[in-house]
Amino acid sequence: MNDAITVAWKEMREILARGGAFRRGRTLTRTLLFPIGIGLLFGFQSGRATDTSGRSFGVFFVGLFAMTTAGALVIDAIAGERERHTLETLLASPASDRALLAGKIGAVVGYAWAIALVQLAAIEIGAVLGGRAIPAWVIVVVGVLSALEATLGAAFGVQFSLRAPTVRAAVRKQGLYSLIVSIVAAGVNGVVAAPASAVVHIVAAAVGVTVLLTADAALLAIARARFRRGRLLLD
Amino acid sequence: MASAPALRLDGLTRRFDTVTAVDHLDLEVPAGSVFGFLGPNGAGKTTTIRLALGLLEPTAGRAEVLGRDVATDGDAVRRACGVLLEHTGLYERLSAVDNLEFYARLWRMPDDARRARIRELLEHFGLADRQRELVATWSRGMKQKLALARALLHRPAMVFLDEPTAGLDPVAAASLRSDVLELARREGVTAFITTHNLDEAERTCDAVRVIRAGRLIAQGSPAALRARGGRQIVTVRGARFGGAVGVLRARPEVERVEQSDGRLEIELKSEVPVAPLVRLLVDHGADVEEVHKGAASLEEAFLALLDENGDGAG
Repeated sequence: MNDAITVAWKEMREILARGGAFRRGRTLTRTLLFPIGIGLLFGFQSGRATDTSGRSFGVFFVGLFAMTTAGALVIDAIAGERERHTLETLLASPASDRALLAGKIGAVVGYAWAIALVQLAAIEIGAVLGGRAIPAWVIVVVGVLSALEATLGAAFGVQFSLRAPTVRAAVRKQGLYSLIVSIVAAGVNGVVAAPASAVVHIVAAAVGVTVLLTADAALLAIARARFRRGRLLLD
Repeated sequence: MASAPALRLDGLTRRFDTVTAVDHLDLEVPAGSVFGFLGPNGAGKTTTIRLALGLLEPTAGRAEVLGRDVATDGDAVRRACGVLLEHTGLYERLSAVDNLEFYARLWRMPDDARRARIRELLEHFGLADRQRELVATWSRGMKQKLALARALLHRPAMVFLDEPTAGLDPVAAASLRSDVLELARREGVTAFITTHNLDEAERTCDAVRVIRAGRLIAQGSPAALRARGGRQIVTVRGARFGGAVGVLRARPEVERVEQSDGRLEIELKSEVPVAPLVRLLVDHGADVEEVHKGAASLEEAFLALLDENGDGAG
């Protein structure tokens, strides 16, 4: 566990330093600007409108951003390390394969989820400003779903990073699969937030959580089985 | 009582598709020694290090480091070893301190010891002034020193250094060599060094092995390897060598004779006394002013070994 936290600490520092300069404040502001802007816009629309389409769109984007952010970051954390020639030295450390993988996934999921929560908060603020707040249960369920979606994005990205020599190669391998999976998974958020009876909401949330949990567990198990240091260095 | 070897490879083999990078390699590295692993590009040096650290799975054979089997006890092996691999492996988006801090935590060094050791190493390598700067802004030499500091951070029992002085200026390279030697002498650390720099191997290593196409082709001390290279050069300065050259060339112990501008270079096939040859020169009318006898350099021996075993060093 200690080693996984140490790896996550390093990954988080690298994520915050992305962009070539260690200007955490600027990087973070740039990263948050778009999700907050989208969140406020859709939230405000939702608050002003008589229907709830704006809120469905808003929470859909929360899931989409969470998945794509986690996917991109995990590719950078594995294929990117290989490309920057730091992976081999990391593998020569005593940290177990499981700790390395858990630290990398933990950091990117934590980061992507934090952005999702900020975006969700922006949606709610926009909705309040628009005149009609989004029910708290929608915010809570979408908050939970976005954590599962970020995990799915990361676990999916790992699969394409393990044998890719560069970030670009991993992204190319991933192709449209990632986008399609992200749209489908984030669509669950939209369904949960859409106007319907309480029963439909509960069933949609339960099914969404179950499906995402199952997919996460399956992909993480595959990632764990494939993430073996003896096979991570390419020929 | 002889101590157990720090590294033992038994029939270690690694194939990549049709290429055999390491081919039934048997090797023992004595504990506390500075061991040189020489070979041309693609000989299998880096693959051997990767196999010894469990970063690659062997096709056959086994590796044992500090008495532990790498296949079954890899984490413990890596915990006891320090590495400076082909690339520095530094996180360029992070500062020097953060790089060292990260690896020190992975080696689970206690907080106080970790901070003190990081400070000590940064000062020792002259990097303390720029410890908070991004590594990306550093020169190649500074990065190499930082990578060596990282390798030594947790006071490993064995270090693997893959081309450690590559890209360093002569002063930095000499300093690094001296650090490695000091470490081996003072703390009994075993150093496994791959290098192309034969002069470096000669200055640093107690023993060397030469590998080509994944197989060992020679072993011994640098001096023994030079001797095995077999050539001995006698350089004579003087005049009127003309009458003696033909006689010299006819001698069975002489491989080659070249004459130019008052200088005669005689290459001998093996270690033989030089005095009879000098006498022969004088008897045939040569005016001998100076005689210098030298063994082949390690580089010449190395090239000769590669030639013997199938190709040049290219």
